Amino acid sequence: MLACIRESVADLLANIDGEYPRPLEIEALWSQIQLNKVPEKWRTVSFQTAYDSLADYIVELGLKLEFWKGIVEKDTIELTSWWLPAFFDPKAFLTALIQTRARQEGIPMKDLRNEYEILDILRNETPATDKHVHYIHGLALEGADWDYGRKLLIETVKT
Amino acid sequence: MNSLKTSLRSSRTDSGQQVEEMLKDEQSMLNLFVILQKLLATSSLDKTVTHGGKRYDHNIDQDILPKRDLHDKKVSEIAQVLLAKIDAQFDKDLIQKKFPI
Repeated sequence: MLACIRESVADLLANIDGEYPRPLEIEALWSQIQLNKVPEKWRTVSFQTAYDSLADYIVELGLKLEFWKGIVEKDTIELTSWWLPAFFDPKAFLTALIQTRARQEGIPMKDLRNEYEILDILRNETPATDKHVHYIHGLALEGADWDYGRKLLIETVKT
Repeated sequence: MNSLKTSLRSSRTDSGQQVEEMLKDEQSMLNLFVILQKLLATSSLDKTVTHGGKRYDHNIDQDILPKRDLHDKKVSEIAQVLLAKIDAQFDKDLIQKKFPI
């Protein structure tokens, strides 16, 4: 995705410097940027997002890049919580956890599944002590609320 | 079984505050894109100015022409900064070392 954005900027640079006549798709892409919209070309290779405005999208991109830089530069054992929406395909990450354990312990994948527990804290701050426990954050509810006391989904009370 | 522990939070995030934080950093990607947005409106990429891409053949007597050239130069400078910023995001050697394919 970053490569796609880079290509768009490099195209802009080449065109504005007059290296070659600009194709219509480059004009269209930068017109969308002028209108504060996320270019369609970027969306096809992008993470899922609820944002339409380019400013919000760039903010989200910046936060996700920071998360991934942390993954690359630090040891993942130190990671206190995985930010699930930072993944291009969050479901694939959850499957990868099963796959990792299946390979490590020689257990068929069909015999493994993830179990989930909703915590009362906003975000975990210490690394997991059990190697099979992973903390995730960044989930949000739409059309329902979470009852922390009873630990179940309830009708939304917000307007 | 693997165990995943998570927390739920409101879907309302204070993106306005995040935008302000990023705008404080002059070299942030957000700031660079905002500058580009403003400059492009009066650059040679603006369709209303270029009249279909004929840059110098039309409207040569208009006052906007020097401004357009100045903004083209600035767009070029900002685009170069943005490219350097994107290239500096990740250390490719470190990625290869940590996640070998």
